[in-house]
Amino acid sequence: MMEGGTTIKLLDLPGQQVSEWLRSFDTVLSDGDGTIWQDDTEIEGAAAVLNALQNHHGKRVYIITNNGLKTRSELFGRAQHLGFQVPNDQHIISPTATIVEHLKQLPDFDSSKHKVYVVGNAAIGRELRENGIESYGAGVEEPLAKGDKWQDFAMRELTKPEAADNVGAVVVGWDEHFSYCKMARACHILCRNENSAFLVTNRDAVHKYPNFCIPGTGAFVAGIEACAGREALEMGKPNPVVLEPLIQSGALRPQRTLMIGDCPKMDIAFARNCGMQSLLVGTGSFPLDILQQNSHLPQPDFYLPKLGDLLQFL
Amino acid sequence: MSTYKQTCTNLLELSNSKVTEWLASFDTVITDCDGVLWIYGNALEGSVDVMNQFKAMGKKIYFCTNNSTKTRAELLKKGLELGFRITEEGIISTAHATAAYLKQRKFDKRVYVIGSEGITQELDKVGIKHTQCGPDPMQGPLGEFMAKHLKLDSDIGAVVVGFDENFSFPKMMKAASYLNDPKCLFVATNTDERFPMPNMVVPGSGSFVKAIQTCSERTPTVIGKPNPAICESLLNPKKIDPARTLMIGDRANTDILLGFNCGFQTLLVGSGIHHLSDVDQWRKSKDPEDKKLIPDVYLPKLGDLLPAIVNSQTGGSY
Repeated sequence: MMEGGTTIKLLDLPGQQVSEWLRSFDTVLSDGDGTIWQDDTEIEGAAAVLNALQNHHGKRVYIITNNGLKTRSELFGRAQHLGFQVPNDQHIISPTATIVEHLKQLPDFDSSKHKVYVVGNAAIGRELRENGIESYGAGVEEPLAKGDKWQDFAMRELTKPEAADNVGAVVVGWDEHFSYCKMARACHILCRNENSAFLVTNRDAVHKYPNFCIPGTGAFVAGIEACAGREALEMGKPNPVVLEPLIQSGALRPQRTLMIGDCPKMDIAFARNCGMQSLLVGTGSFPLDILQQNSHLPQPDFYLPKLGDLLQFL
Repeated sequence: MSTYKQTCTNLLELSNSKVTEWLASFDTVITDCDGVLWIYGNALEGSVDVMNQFKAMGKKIYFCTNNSTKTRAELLKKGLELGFRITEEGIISTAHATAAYLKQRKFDKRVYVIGSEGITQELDKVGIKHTQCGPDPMQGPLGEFMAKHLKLDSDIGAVVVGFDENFSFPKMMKAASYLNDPKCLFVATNTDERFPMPNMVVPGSGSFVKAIQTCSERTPTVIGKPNPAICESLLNPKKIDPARTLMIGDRANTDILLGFNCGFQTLLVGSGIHHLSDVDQWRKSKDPEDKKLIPDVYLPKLGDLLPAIVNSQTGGSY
């Protein structure tokens, strides 16, 4: 792996060197949006490359996404539909899956008696339920009731024992129904139950478009963190905790793993944080020439304009 | 300079003559409200008497609150009802100061307000146009909301964020979209993360501001304590002498820090947010910023000063 060297453009290397490089890793982690698919459309050549790496070069392939709006099995469904041949949904690493894995190994969380309060979308509730964990709040609207002032809500709702009793975790995800009441409930639980887990799917701050900006999950959790005085644990890239289950089970070794992605702050930083090789593809917002002008951003070890360009070497 | 500067001296442990001396060392008193004078709807024991005694002793009195949900008129009414002798000019509030800040900059566009009527009424008083506060719930899933319901106004020149019980995703989206224009001002009434409530932790303005700060990727101008801007009208022109001004508060990172920033003497009362145990932490801390939070003097509650005041008035001969 390169340490602070310049990025190597794979297309500039002779074929033999690329073949040698292909032998330097046993596992491939690939980002989703912007790398192998864009929502429900495959990026051309991506499936062929990942399938070849898996089926002809003996690599274990995982798709690793920060998409917190779908369950692991729903993302696996998309992968299959788009032609990716990863064997089962255990080869999808996503925030909802990471949340479940993380809760299950926490000593203070007991799924037989604890439930989870979710400030987020319904997929988080679905994933928890599919894994035997009870939750409430996912996908639910809770505006201040007509005629209520915030003091009425707080005095009535937050003094009930069930507002915090046996709530073992607060999980924050993308929530188009984010509201004062949800913030207040989350803070109440986090302050009352010191041993409760506080998890967030990912910390994207905002998604900017020409005429409007869509708040990201990072903004929702920042508001809750400010009030609760506690920091949430990020269940997505670039936090290395995401890789823990695979490292613990021996399914991969970071030094023999290649991380492929289109986003320097997420994917390349993740590779760095975990000690993996990194390959940046130019199908996202940072084609290499732009990235190199922004030297404060993590620079990748290797680069390809698009993942499909690797096919000629496979 | 106060003899007690940043020593957190407990006034209850000083001799009568020393307290009398201390009482004579300031002519102006600026006090926080929630957690010092009152909690929620009830006056704290002794607070009314102490403040009225200060006034009777000839000291100038100001109430200074970060609470942006009330206008000065409403705060005046509350204070008078509880028995405090105070006038509207003696009330410094972030809602009022925010409107004054915009007026002073000759702001002539429209304000997108995430807050309550405390703010909108103060803006009305100075003739600044603004959006309405109140509920703005999500309508339909995101796609439908953006296609059919989301309306961005073209005349917004500032986003003001304060305490909003109707905080919602649509408000965050509008604020972030308006603030994407670097010319649009971003003002926060205050950054107290929690609203003072007995026995309960509930979100305050600071939590809403943090959320907007994150999705707009911009830092706001903060009007309230500890920013000296909130007592701008007292400092310039010099209506008061900072060295002979006492700042009383229950929260060190707003009240005491404001005192530090303005060169006031400071008194921390333990009837609200911060306590002696917190001061101990700041004493032990290696961070120089934490030293600014240590008050000159301390009392468990403001009412505890009453015997000493009476004593100083009667010369100890009652």
